[in-house]
Amino acid sequence: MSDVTVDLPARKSPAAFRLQGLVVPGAIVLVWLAAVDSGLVRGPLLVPLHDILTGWLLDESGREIWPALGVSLLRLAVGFAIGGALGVAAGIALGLSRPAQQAVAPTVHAVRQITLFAWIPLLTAWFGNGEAAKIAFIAIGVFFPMFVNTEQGLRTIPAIYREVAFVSRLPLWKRLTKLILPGALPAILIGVEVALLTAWIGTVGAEYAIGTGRGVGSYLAAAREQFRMDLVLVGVLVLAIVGYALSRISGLAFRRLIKWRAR
Amino acid sequence: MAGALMSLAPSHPANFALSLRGVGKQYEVDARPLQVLRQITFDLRRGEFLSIVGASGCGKSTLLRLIVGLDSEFDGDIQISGEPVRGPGAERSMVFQDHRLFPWLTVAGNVALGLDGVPLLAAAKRERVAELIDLVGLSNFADAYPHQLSGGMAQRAAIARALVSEPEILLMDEPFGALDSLTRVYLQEELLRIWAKRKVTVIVVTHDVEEAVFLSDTVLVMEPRPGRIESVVRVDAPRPRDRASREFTEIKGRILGALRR
Repeated sequence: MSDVTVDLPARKSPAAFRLQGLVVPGAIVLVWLAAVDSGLVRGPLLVPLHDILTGWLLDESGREIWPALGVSLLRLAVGFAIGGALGVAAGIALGLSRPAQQAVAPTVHAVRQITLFAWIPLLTAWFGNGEAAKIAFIAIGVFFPMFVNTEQGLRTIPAIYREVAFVSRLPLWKRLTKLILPGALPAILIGVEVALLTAWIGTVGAEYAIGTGRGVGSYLAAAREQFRMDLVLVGVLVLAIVGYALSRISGLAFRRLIKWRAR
Repeated sequence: MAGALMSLAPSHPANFALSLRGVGKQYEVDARPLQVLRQITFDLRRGEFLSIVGASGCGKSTLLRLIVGLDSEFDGDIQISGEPVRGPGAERSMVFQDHRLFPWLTVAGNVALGLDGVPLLAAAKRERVAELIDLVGLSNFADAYPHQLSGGMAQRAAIARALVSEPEILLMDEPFGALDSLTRVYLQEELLRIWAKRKVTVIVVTHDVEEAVFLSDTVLVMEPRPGRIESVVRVDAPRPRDRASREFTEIKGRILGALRR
């Protein structure tokens, strides 16, 4: 691609990096083609590469990955919005008030230690096996990285800027919009990057584990049930591509929103 | 003495822009009290330009922080036009040694910060911000971010931010200390031009005696441990001042002598 912007001429161009990054996947593809597609190795778990690459377009069951993907992304968006809003709000509230921080933070940090998937039995007990449990699961996965990064972002705003706000007698609302949010934004965006990936893993995990309804996770579960290894791999490929895309999107958002930093 | 007579006395705090009476400050260091300032008493006329010089550790920056209201724990009295200081106020603003512009706001955005606590219509605020940016000569950089400015330009933007609320007293803590000598001399002249135009009362803390003599009506010489006033030197030389003149060098020598005592 030639439209890649290079901001530092001294550094290696991103395009060069990308080419080097393709060495390992390229090698895997070649070995796969040589071993499986040629018919050299056969087995129920080894699916020819062209079946995987064409599966989501040509195979009738394979095409169901598209609506499944749509459902999953929608679920991710809803769960992310809820968990993200709550995480940022809690992070700001605790970052602003020292008493609130001391009263609530230890509990939140303790609850954070619960492994994400350990929530599933609890959530299905509370919300049933439907949509609410999945959304809640994603929201919990998003809440913690957003909360932790927002709180930390608030705490790391330099005291010298707080003094300026104090001397200028900025009202609370202006302090929020002009000092606290922009000052914490880099940390919040790092939270977004982590939370998006957690949310994606959480979405598919919830669909897979809870099992009802549609989505990429349910698609994977169904493909495994029917022993369609080609479709399982189609699902895995989609998982990887979406995960990569989400991480690229958050990186792009970072550069777009934080243009005030000297590069 | 009757209260009515008191208020007529020429030495009454209400007659001064700023009045300090027996101001002292202690810190706790390793559970032992450390006296940073002791018995600071002086008056500042409206529109007066005062410099405070002294060796590092003489508490001159601490004194400024007390006056601006960043620190309310002190002994004695600080009065602005006869009103005791309690926390920061609209009639005072401060320029720090590091410009402290918010990196995520443009020059105009940073200057506008000075008006956020002031009840004014948005249009009036915009006009004031533009006027102040023009006053400090940054009209072409109103939309620039701080990282795109030189040190001198950033400090000029900080001065605009401090002046935009039209304070009566401008407090400056080594405002040009981090700048190269050419920029420093240029900004000193700029500051005098702005001071003459805005008729604001100014206190500059500096360790540069020449700067103090060039700028001020009065130079307060402080000595350390504990920080106290060593002497008060009036600078009567006519403006604009010639740094090479005999009078200038003589006053400078007197202050340097006081600092060495």
